[in-house]
Amino acid sequence: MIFLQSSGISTPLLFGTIGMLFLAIALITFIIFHQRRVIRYQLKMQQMESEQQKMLLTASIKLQEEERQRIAADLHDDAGPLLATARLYLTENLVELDKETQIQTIFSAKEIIDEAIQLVRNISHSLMPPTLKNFGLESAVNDFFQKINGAGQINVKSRFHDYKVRLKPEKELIIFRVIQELVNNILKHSHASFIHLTQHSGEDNIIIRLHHDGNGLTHEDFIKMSKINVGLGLINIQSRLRVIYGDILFEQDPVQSFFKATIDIPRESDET
Amino acid sequence: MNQILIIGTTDSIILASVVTEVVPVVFYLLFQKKNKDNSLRVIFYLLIINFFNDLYGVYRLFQLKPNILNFNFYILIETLFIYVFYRKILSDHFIKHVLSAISIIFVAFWLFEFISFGQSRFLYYCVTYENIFIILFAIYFYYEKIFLLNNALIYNNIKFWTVAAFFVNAAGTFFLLLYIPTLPTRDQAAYYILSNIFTIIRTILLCIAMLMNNDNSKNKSL
Repeated sequence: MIFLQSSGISTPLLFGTIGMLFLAIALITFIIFHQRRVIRYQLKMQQMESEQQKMLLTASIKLQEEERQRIAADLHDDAGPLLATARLYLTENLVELDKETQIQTIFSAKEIIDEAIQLVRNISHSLMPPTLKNFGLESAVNDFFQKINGAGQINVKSRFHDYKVRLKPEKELIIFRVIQELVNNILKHSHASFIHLTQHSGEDNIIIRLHHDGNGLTHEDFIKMSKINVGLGLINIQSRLRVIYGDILFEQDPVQSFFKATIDIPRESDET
Repeated sequence: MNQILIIGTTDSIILASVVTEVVPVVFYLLFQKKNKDNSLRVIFYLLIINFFNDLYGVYRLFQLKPNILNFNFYILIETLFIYVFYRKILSDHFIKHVLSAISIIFVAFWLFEFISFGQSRFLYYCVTYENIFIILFAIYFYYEKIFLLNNALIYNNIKFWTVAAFFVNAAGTFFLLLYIPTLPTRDQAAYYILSNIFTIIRTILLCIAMLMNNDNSKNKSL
């Protein structure tokens, strides 16, 4: 500065030049820091996304394991003893018994085997409800609701307004499981007196809405519970819907007397 | 004594500003020769022309026979090279048309000023026009970069530093070149030292650009 002044350079020029230089450097610095901030934000978002994915994957694996354990328990605790008992009846000694006892033993063994067949059928139905497989989502939901109504504790109704073209079977199964999970949650936690399910079709999507008059969730609650890893059922719903690119929204109606869960599922080109 | 010291320092700065201009050229040949980016090649050729032009200018200056003509020609060449450079690095087609229109007007303006004063004095107004041109499109370049959302850090980008070099140089000499024509001819020479200082700064920034890694897709640690 002293050098420049001693060489006779005027102060306004000096300040003008320094000012311009400062502006240029400030602009460049701003861009560098702004971009760093944007990238940091992006990375944070990516990290959160991957954590969410990881959580969903864990939930999905856990769900699978629980399902396997349940099937294993059913087979071990119910089917196993039944078949073992049937085997006891059908020992080599059977030929040495008198004819009447033989007939009685075979009849008992047949009854036990029938029971075992029924048990295996029940396990198979719980994995893939036959109504869903043969008649579609609407019938499966009606069937499911009929069973709940049979208990007489709660009024459960469903109304499918426009479900002429069935979705793909694997998609229907996922939706059915989500509906089952939601209804089970309502039955367990909400103390509702009724549950209504309605279905509507959009141009390229299907909307399924469940509403009830008990204690429910808002979407904020849902996000909060999903993030802090509370409520495996909710995470399962999320992970199942993600597979079919579906979405779920929990809300309370404006008069605050009902809670709603709205599932939005996009249709594929061959499902319209 | 003080005056002698200043003259000695001034000469050193002038010489340093010219001699160092060759460094980014060497860095380009060492580190960027395999870089297939054409925009950088444009700057490389410009730097070679700039180096020989300034070398000849300094030689004539030290011979006490300053030659204005080659500097005035260089203004046109530099602006056209920077025009090509900006055309290659900017992505918006409308802005490219604006860039072309401004360059055509510049050529017309240069022709007018050159025919009128090209032999007798330095074309200050043309240089001011060129500086405004560089500053505006540098700002636009950065504006484009702000909205480009990828994970590559901008300061790892060769073009970022190349634009910064010309931007800082243009911003630094902007007032100087507006102010010089208002001074008597005998006092003008003293002010050129500022221009030389900014040439050194530009060279440093260009050296940083030439040292940048070609692979800009990797996101370095924040």
